[in-house]
Amino acid sequence: MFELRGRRKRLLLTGISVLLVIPFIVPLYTMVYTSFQGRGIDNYKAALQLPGFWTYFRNSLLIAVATIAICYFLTMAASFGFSKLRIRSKEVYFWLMMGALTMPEVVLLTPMLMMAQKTGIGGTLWSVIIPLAAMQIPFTTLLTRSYVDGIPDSLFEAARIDGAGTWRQFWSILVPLAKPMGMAIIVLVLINSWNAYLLPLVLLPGEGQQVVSQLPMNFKARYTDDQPKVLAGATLAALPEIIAYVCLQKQFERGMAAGAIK
Amino acid sequence: MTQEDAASISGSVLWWAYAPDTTVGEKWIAAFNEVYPNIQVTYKNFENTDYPPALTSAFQAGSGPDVFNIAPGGSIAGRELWADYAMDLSAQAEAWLGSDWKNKYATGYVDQLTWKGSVVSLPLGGVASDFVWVNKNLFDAQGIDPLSLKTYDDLKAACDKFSAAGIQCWTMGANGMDGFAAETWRTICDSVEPGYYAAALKGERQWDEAPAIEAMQILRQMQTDGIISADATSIKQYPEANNNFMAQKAAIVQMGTWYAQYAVAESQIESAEGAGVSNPEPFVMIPIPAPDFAGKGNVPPYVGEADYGLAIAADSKNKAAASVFVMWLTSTEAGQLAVDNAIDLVPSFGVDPDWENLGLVDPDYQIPIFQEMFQTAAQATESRNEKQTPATATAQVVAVQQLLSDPNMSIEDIVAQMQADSEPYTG
Amino acid sequence: MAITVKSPAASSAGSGRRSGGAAKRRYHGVPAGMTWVLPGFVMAVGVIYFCIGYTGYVSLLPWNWRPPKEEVVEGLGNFARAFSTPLFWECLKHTLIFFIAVYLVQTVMGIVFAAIMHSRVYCSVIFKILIFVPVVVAPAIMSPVHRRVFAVDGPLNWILAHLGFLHADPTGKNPAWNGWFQWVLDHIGLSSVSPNWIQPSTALWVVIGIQIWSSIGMAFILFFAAMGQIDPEVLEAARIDGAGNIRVLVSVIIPQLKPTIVSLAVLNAITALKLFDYPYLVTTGGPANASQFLGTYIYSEMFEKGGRFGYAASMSMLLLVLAIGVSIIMTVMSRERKPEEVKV
Repeated sequence: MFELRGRRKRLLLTGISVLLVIPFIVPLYTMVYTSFQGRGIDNYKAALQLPGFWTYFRNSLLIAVATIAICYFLTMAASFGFSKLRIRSKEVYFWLMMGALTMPEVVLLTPMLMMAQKTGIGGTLWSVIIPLAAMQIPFTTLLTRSYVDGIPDSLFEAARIDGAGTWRQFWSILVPLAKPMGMAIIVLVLINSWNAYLLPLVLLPGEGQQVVSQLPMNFKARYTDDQPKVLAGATLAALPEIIAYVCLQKQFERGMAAGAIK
Repeated sequence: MTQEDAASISGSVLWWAYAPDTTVGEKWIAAFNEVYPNIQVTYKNFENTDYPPALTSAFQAGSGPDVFNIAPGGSIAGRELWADYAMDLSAQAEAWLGSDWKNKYATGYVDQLTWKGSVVSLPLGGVASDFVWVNKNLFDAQGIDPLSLKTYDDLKAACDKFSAAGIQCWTMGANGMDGFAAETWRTICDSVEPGYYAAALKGERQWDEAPAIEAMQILRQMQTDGIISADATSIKQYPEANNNFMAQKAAIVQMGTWYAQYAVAESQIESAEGAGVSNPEPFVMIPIPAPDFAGKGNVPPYVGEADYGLAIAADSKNKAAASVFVMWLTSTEAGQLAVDNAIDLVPSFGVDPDWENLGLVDPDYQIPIFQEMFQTAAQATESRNEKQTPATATAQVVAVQQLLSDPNMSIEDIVAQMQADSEPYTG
Repeated sequence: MAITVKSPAASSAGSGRRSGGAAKRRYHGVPAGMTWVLPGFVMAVGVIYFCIGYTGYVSLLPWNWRPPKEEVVEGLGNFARAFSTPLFWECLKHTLIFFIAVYLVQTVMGIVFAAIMHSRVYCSVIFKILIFVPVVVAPAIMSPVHRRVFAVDGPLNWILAHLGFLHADPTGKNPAWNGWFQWVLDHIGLSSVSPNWIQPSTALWVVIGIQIWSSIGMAFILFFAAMGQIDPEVLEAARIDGAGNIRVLVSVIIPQLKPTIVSLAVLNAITALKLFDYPYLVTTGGPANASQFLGTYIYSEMFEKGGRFGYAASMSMLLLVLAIGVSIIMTVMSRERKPEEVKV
């Protein structure tokens, strides 16, 4: 994007980047450093040896996959509709959706729980998946709509003239072109559902239903927090997200590079 | 149901609470199952601050636990908050223990857990506070006798020695909404004018009167004199201030009877490791009375009450099994022995812990002191949280934060605000 | 995939044809979108609006209502109470400051980072990961770490000490600014700022700093993706015209980032209004309400002061109104200037 003539300029820019990135590293370094205090690597062993350790990950994974799938498809569809299709009073619907973004999570607890009980999904993973998806769709739609706005209408018109139906337009034009945004959606929804804490705590109280965000709680006692072990558990819990991001990041860049091929 | 009937009951019970810790709770359940193997009990522990939202939501949706904790007061588990969800246990207690059942518990505990005539929970154990714990090893290293700290000046002289040696004196964490820093202020109030604080809780006195102001001045003085560190309002009592004490970086901390559990060598080592120390050495910790801060000859007394009790949900579908569990843990010698051996709670059913086998760091020295502490605790005449409304508790926390974080804020303004935000106890 | 961003040239012939009777035909040609929008709408709106409806009902109950006390609909008293409580307005003030600071830094630094990472920097992958990891880790986990970072004897002050800004005392608990820096602070009116960061004078800025740390990564990703969509031909054209790097950035790239900039404004506004995690977990709204936000205030009314659900619900409704209002204003203001689709 920017031309940098010569190694000196590239090195200079790299040096600036290093300085800018230091504030990001300090807390992360502190976290990992603290997780090795006290008993050192045994803190990690203690976390790994928690009974049912893998159950936490399994539950979080199931919730994340379901939430992502729901959000991805519903967001793409909704952005397509809002941006490229004809809807009477579409802005009203759009703003109603945005209104749903505004409630603090704690306010949602009691009504969500009531709703889960009444619809019979109480106590299952769906009681968490549905609210999590519902809370994120407005956000992802807001972003994706802007993105899709930037895809020229003419592409769709050309396809329509060529006889492609709406469904075809969606699958063959929108979804591929919106791939970078789609990757971003996947990453963001993954993070929010992986980190969800209050909702699973209240809605999934059963044995074997814990999620990974509750893993560090095992090391918090009433009067003492075993900080190093808490952070060891937290680091382990965060690793999958970070790894997923790192992997998806390459995909995401490839998606963008493909968009620029002539 | 009576104790005889209990043997034939079977079922499953779900217990939600913020205390005890999961491992301790599971030990108690294991002991229970040796006597009643046909009742499964599942314990789910919550952080203090997660407990109210989780419990409210669950009860509201009809999916609450069978057994939960209710305390005399406070904003986490106070009677006022949860009485509507609990069933009256007096009939069950009478069937189990006979008509004299109330007197089998420590004085006053049952009344503290009664709300509008209904016994909403039965006491599991008690608590007392308004005294301090010290690290005897650090005191010995400076040649100070902990029991010699009788006045403010004694305290200051000791603290000067500690500071010179690079040790913090009185570690306090005033950040967050727990009331420990406010409790220090309460202790000082009791040395300024005994009885003032208790009267103000009920609205008979005001929070902006002279004793409150003088106590605030003393507390501020403690910070200026370096007894309390400058970062008191940046750190929380748990885990930061607690970690300071456990890592032997501080000599004094204001905690209550529950702190005795850390005098056990194994717990202490775990806590020190949790504080980041590798290969920690256990030290000897003992309680001492709070000093007479105001110098008027009033040593602050212990304040104590039931710490919490077990309640049974009014809409529970497992009341019989839940009753067996609750009665065994609160009202039998075997159950209370299991509870008391954690030396976290003051015994409420008259059962002594098995002191010799607990693993204290220096049993010969510590056991008599701890026994005396529990006895004094059981005889406390003033309650701790029972008469504190949540609004008053919050107002005091905020006031102390203002006092310790802003040296330019006038004490008159602080106490005036505290008075405006408080609500008297009417229960 | 044959169709690429370059297709405007292909359809140019078509658009010429369309300009005549095309208007009518185009209107009929655009398919109805309701079925596409419906599933997402139903899910988001259905679930959340049920909760909003419930909250709206509760806001009309007595201010200290708590389930399961009997319900006696009272009316708008809770709203009046909110407006007349100084703390409510304090929270809004904090929210405004928070929003402005976080949004500005996020946008500027997000664009800067995105621009840098699109250039041929060494090891850009590592930087990209480091910038984004804060977004990934949960606030519940990082809060004790942040308390440590900003502690009087924590890493931040350690760095500042080694850079010569301050010095510590023997216990390590009473750091003080070095003379020269204290002079600077006094002369820009910030003499109350001390290295004891979680104090009423600076607690809000600690929360702001942490939020920036944890959210720049996201702004970065969005700008990075948007920048990647910019047609390289346009950039080439600008360069051929002799534009330097900065000129290209300001005149070519940033206008194309407009939709993202607007989206970020709306999102930051909503986040600021309902902010909860970091102020609650790191500073608990304090000390002494110095970093209290609506989200934390609502929480404390619900669960710390003994269950004032009615009052908390009324503030939640006010939050809803504010958030929608602000979002609409922002988007309308930007839509006016939205460039028409380029029909070459």
